[in-house]
Amino acid sequence: MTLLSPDDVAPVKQDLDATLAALDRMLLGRPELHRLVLAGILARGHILLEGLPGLGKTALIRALAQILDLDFKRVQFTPDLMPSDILGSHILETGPDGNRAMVFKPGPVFCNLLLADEINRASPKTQSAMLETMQERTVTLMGVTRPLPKPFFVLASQNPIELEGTYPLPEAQTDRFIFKLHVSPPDAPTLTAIITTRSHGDMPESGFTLGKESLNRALDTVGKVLLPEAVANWIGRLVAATHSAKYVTCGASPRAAIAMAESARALALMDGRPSVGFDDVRKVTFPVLNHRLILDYRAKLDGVDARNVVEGVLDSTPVAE
Amino acid sequence: MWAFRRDLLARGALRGVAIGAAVAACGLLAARAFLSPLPPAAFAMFAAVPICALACALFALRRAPSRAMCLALVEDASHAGGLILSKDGPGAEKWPRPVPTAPYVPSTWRRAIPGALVALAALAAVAAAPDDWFAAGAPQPLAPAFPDVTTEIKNELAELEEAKTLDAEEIKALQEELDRIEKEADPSAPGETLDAVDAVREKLDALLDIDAEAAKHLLPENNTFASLATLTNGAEQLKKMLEESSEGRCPHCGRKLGEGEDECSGDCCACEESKDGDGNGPGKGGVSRGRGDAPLDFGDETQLGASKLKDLAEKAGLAGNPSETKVGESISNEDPAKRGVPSSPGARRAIGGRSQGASAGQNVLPRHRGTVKRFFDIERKAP
Repeated sequence: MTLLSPDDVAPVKQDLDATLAALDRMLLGRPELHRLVLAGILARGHILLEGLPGLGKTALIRALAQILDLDFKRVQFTPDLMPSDILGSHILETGPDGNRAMVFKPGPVFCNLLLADEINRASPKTQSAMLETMQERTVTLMGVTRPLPKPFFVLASQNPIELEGTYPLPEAQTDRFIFKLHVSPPDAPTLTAIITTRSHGDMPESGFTLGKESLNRALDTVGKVLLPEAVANWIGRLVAATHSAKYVTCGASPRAAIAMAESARALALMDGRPSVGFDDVRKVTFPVLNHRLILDYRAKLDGVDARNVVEGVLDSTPVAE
Repeated sequence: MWAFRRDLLARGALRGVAIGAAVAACGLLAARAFLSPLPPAAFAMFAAVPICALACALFALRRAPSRAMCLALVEDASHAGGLILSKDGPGAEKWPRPVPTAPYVPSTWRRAIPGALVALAALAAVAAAPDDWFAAGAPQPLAPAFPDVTTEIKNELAELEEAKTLDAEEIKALQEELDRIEKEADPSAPGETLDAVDAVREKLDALLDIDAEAAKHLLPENNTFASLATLTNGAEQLKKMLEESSEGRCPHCGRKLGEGEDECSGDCCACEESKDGDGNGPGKGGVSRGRGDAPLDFGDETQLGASKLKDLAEKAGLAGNPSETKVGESISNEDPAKRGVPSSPGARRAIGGRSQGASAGQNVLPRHRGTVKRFFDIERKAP
């Protein structure tokens, strides 16, 4: 595989740097989170943001939609939300000629960027409606399969502490998210900057728009970033090692290996490099694996979480074998 | 890369030299200890040194990481972002090659030098040591048993001479031969000397055997066997006389028995023991009581007048006065009035459900306490 030339990489890197700068300007104090969100988008993946209320999860997704200038829809997930509220439904309508026919009214899922706010508040039936859209990017209703617009991303948010009236996402759905990112509370200087520079916490205008064309070019370029054999081999061994790791009942799926490779490519491109290094893989290992590992009861008793397990896997898997 | 492999090669070769020299030194040492003179072929053990060195060097080289593995390690250590791994691919020439900042790996082959030198010095020392230092090359001392053997034979000859068992000339000849053996003894060949001493011993034994045969032939002339037969005949006659004299008498105490009397009825111990132990005849059973038809004698009734145990009349119990007993009540019964049970089912549910709050007062089993405590500790720590 031919390496990308510096001339191919430079304009894309410039666009991505501008995107990141705009995000950092709109939302203060989270440059690493913004990098990972953009890497997930460039890897054509869906992202699950988890954090306490008021930390700016929804604001981040809205800011991203504004910068990317994509068709953006928001769905507030509630316990009484039905699949047809997301996917769309057939309605009996009378045409101009007076004939009545079942007409398909597309739901909010027919967009480029779908914000699934508080996704765990919807019932499992409604959550299951997202499975096909997230994996195959199509909607099948009454025997007719309709493709979703390209690109299509789902950015979901959920609250980790409110358990009453929520339905935890099933493993089949969490596995479809490329990253699960934890949104941590901002530090004191960031809070100070927020309250001094923002009126009522309103975000400023982005001042930069990437556009669909530039985004598609970046997505194409990400696919051309070289993944060396040694790095690919390491990714494979990392994912395989999760199956035999202590405290793990079920290890990561092949989707995890694909997600690690694609998101590492995106990080390499964001750094202006034509090839993936081991450090790129290290940066995405935890966001990719943390929601895919099912830990057993011993982990809870010993106070071990997914981060400890992922760190153990990284330590015990040498880069060269 | 080549420097790394060269380092491995040198270290393996030096370790091989150490192993080969140690093996050769041990082999040579064993050969010199047991073989005298040392055959020239033994020095072929020196060949173990280069053979082991070569084998160990090749083994070390085989264990060296592959080029791809080295590249991956350098890539990871230098944080080059995949540019080192892809430096040979098409299009790589357009990218500036990053300078690897891999940590310096110290050369370790010098650490194997002291071991190799020590082993070589040991081999040289074993090869150059003089023959006198080894048991096979040193003069063999006289067998320590030799003087004891000659002295022992000489003392025996002196005793035989004193007892005049053998002729004096024969003893003298043997003593002269022993003196000659002692004089002509070769310290380097103790076996020949011991053989000569054994020959003298055999001669002496042969002379003594001849004397023993002569003594055997002398025995019948003394008529010893004839006198023994006479004694035996006398003993048999005495026994017959004793049997004749004991007829009609008790065999135990010797008392003369009357007519029709089979055995003694006297009071001697032997007769009494005989009676108790026989068990013959009705009522005469000894310890075993015979056939069991002996007459039973019952004496008078026991007089209880002097006994300490007296009959006492029992007092009347509760059964005799039923009015003093209460049936169905004891001090352990609860008072329902003090219990405070709500009257309505709704109030009972509000207090504790159907179980009346029984589980609230139930203790956690000791073996579960650690788990419960740890569980809630973890829950509290969680964000």
